[in-house]
Amino acid sequence: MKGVVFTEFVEMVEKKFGHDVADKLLSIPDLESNGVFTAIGTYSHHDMFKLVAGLSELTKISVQDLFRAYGKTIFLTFTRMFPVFFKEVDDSLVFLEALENRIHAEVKKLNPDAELPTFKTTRLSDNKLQMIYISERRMSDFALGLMEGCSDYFNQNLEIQRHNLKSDGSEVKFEITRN
Amino acid sequence: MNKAQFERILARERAARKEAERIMEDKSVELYEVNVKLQSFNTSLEEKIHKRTQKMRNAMAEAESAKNAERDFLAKMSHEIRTPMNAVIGMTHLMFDTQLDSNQKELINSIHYSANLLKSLISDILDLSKIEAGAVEFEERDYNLKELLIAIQKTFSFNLKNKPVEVEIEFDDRLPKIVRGDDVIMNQILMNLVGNSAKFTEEGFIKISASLVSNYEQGSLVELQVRDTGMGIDEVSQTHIFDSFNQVDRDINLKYGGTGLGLAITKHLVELSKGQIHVKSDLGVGTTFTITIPLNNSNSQHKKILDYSDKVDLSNAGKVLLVEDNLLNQKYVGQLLDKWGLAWDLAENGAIAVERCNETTYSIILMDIQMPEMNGHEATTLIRSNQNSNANVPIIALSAFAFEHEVSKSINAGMSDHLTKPFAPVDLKKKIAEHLCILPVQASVEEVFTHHEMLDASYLESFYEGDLQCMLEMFEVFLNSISSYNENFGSAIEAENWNEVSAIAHKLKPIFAMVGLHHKQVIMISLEKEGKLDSPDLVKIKQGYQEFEDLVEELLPVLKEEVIRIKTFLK
Repeated sequence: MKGVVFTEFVEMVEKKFGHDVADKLLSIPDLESNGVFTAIGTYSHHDMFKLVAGLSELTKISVQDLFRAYGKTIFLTFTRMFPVFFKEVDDSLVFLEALENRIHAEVKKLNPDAELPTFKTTRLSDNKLQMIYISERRMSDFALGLMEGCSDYFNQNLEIQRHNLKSDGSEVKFEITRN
Repeated sequence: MNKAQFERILARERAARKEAERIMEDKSVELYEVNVKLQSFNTSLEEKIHKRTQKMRNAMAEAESAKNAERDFLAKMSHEIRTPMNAVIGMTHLMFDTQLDSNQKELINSIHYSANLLKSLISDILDLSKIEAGAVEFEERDYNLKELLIAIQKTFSFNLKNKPVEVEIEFDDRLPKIVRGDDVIMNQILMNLVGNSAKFTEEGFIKISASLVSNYEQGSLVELQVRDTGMGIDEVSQTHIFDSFNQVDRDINLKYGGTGLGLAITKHLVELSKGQIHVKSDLGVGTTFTITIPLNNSNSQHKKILDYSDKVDLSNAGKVLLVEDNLLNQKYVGQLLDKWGLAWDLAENGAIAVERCNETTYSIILMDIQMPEMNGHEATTLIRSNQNSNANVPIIALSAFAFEHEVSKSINAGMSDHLTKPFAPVDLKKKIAEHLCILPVQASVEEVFTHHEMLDASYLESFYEGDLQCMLEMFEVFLNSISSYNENFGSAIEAENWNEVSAIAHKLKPIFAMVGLHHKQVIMISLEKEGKLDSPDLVKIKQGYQEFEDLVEELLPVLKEEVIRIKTFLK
C-alpha cells in the first residue's frame, strides 16, 4: 500500500483526535513499519488495518465508519496532489468510469509493484454506473468513502447502493446513481 | 506532550526522513541505470539505421547498375537488329535495278514491304523498351515550334496527295516562335499522331494546331491538337487506346498494318515531356488528340537564329524554270522563289519545259519527275541533247523518290542533282546556291559572334554595345587578375579577416558583371554583407567562397576560349 495513504491517515488522526492518539497508534508494538511512514515508501496493508483497528478501539467508532470517513477525506487530498487527473473532467460518473483504465494504469506505470484493487465498470444509463470492487484486502468501506469524496468534489449528489457479491467482502457491487 | 512522547515522535520523524532519503537514492540509481540502458539502446539503434542505410545504398547501386546494363543492352540490340534489317532493305533496292521478270518483281515487292514493316515494328518495340527502361532522355534545346509544325504539315500533305485530305496548321501568334524543349521528342509525338490521323482519314482534313493556355515564369503551357475527320474510335476502345499492342480491332491491323505501339509510345513521350494527352472521338465524325505540354522560354531569345538561308543572296541569280504539275508544289516552290527575289517561269509538264527552254535562257531548272505527257527524265534528256541555250544549265530533280536507284536514274538522265520532297526552304536554297556558285554573304559582326552559353549574351551586348575589342580587353583583364583575387580571398578567409573578405567581395562584384555573369553577383553580395557583420556566419562564408571557387574554375576555360574566339573573329 502506498506510503501516502499512511501519512495522510496519520495527519488526519493528528488533526481530528490529537497528537496523543496519533502517538498511541504509531506505538502499537507489532506494526511492520515500526510506525515510521514516508509518502514515497510502500507498506503492508496489515499495518493499515492495525492502525484503523487501534483507532476504533480508542475512539469507539467502528472500523467500517473510520475507513469510510478516511476515504472521503483522502479523495480531496488526491485532487490536490494529482490535479492532472481532474483536469478536463467535470462529472463524477465520468471520472469513476475512467478510474481503472486511466488512473490505475498511470499508477502502474510509475509503481510497477503497486497492488491495486480491480474495478469492473459498466455504464447502466446516462446517470447510472455499476462498479464491482474486487480486492483481497476487503477495503470496500474505504472505496465507498472515496466515492463519497468524489461526489463532494464534483458537487454532485450521488446515491450509492452497496451489495456484497462475496460474503467475505472481497467482491462488492456498487450501483451509483447521479441525481 | 511529555518528553518521552516527544522523543518518540522525533525518532519516528527522523527515521521516516532517512527512509525517504534512502528510497530517493535508490530511485536515482535506478534512473541512472535506465538512462545508461537507454543510451546504449540509442547507440545500437543508430548502428542499425546505419547498417540498413548501407544495405539500401547497396541495393540502389545494384538496381542502378542493372538499369545501366539494360540500357546498354537495348542500345546494342537496337544497333545489332537495325543493321541487318537495313541491309535487307538496301539489298532489295539494289535488286530492283537488276533484270527481273514480273513474278520476281512481285516477290521482291513483298520482301520490301515486309522488311519495312518488320523494321518499323522493331523500331517501335525498341523505342518503347528504351522509354520504359528510362533510356530516353529529355534534352532541352532551342527550336522553332512553328517551323516544326510546318515541316510536319508538308510531309503529310505530300504523303496524302492521293487522298482528298487537306493538312492544315493553326498557330497561336501569342506563342513564342522559339521555345526550349526536346524538338526530337516533340516531332516524334506529332508525327505519330498526324500519321495516325493520316492512316484513318479518307477525306476531309487533318488540322494541327498550337495554342497558348497560360504563361508561367520560365515559359508557357501550350495546347497542341491534332484533329481529323477520320473514321473515329468508339468509346470503349478510347479507354485503352494508349495501351501497348492495342489496336482498335484485328481488322484494323489487317487493313492498315502497324504495331499498335504508336500511341503507347506517344503517351510515354508526352509524359516524358511533363505533358498530358487526351483523346476525344466520335465514330464516323473524327478524332481529336489534345496534348498539354509546358515549353520553356528560350534563354537566347535575343539571339537571332541564323541559318544558311539568311546569308545567301539569290536576288541576282537570274531566272529559274520550275517544271511541276502539282498545284500545291507549284505554289510552295513559287512562293519561295518569290521570297528570295528570283524571277521564274512555270512549265506544267516536261513537254512545255522543253518548249520554254528553246525560247528562254535559264540559270537553273527545277524538275519534277512524275508528270503527265512527258516525265522529268525524258524532258531532261531532250534539253541536254537538243541544241538550245539551256543544254548545260544545272537541272535539279525534285522528287518524292528517296530510293538510291531513283536518284541514279535521274543522274543517268542528265540531271545535275536531286532533292527529295518534302524539303525545307533552306535545303532548296542551299542546292540553288551550290549550283550557281553563290557564296554566303559575310554577315556583320554582331550577328555572327555568338557567346558561350554560360555568359549572358544580352547583358554583354548591352554592356559593350557591340564593341568586341573592348570586351576582349576586359576579358583579358579578368583572366590576368582573377588568380590574385582568388589568392587574397583564400588567405583572408584563412586569417578570418572578415573586413578584408568583405572588401574583396565588393571589388569582385562588378568584375563578374563585366564578363557577362552579372547574375552571379549575388555570391559576392552575400559575402560582402556577411563579412561586415559583427559575428559573421562561418558556414555561409565558406559556402560562398566555395561557390566562388567553383564558378571561377568553371569560368576560366570558357573565358580563355572566348578570348581566342573573339580574336579570331576580329581578324
